[in-house]
Amino acid sequence: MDKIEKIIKEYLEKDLISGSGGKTDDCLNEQDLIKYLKGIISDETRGSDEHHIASCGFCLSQLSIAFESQLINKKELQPVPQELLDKVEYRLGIGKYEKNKEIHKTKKMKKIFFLAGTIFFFGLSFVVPRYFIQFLVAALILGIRWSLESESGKTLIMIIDSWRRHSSDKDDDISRRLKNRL
Amino acid sequence: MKDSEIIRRCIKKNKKAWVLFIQKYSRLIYWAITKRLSISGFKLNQADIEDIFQEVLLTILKGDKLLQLKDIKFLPGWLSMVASNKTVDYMRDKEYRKQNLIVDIPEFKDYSFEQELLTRDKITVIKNIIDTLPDKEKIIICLNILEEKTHKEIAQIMGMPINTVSTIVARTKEKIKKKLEKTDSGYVF
Repeated sequence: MDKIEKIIKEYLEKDLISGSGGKTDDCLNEQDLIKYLKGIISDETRGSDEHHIASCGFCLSQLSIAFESQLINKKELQPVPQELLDKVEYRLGIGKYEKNKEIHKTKKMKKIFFLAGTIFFFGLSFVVPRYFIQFLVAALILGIRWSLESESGKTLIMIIDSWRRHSSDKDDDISRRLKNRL
Repeated sequence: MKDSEIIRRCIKKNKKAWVLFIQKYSRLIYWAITKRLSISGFKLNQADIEDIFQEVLLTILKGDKLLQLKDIKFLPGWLSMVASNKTVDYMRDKEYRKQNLIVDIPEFKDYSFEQELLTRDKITVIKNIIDTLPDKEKIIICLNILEEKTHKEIAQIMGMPINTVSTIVARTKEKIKKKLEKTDSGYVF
């Protein structure tokens, strides 16, 4: 860049780039700039667009960025850090986070199903006395399944088991579980 | 899967399509953010880049921004402008703008009173010439000098013959040079 270009550049930077990135409320949106770049606008619109772009550093640089982006080879661009991609996927609930969410959802649904089933059959055993035992057994089975699915149930089983065996082997594990619940 | 199909599914909030979209366009978005930060004179900060990157993808995928895209052929250009636009909005909010954009021009570092007057004269001359240029010609000069685009690239952007671009650039520079020579005999270009 020669001396004369440097002087012109200095003037243009001062003249066109003002405020936050030079962006104003009158700036053209992405769609309008794309239409301008591709030449798919009427002469009248082109004239008014050019009138704005000629005095707006922000729109000018947007045009420049859009033009460059069409030319670059995406594979040659700097890769995005994996950690950042993970954060985005987490916020969008996609990728591996979607799978985790699905598993969690299924577990929750199972627990609700077993609990609702237990209450339903327990109530039914009193409403239909003829099948009292059958319904009670069904309620018991579903109740056991529910207690096995839920964290509280698992902890309770461990406490009973430990107490029954008079063993302190699982004390640490139980303490950790109770701590996590708090 | 074709780009048009990915976009169609992304609009329908298909999460598998979102994953594909991120795989395909994350580099371009990242590039546009860093490009905007550097050309606008914003302070480059990795934490900000990460925040903007997340915001851009959330706006495009979770919001309904993709509905504004009229033609899939223009996706890279559109996407980079959306990312760039979001970058400016984000940085404006954070008020990270550099206080003075243009200070590092060695020729004018040691200001004396006479030199300052000389600079002011030069600026006035350039202003008088640039401001009287038709809009199209001013855009060409800006793209050439400010955005450092070649004549061929400008011709593609503006949709006009390369010879016309070259003529406008040369004519304007010559005009400014002559006027400056008249105003300031101390400068040899």
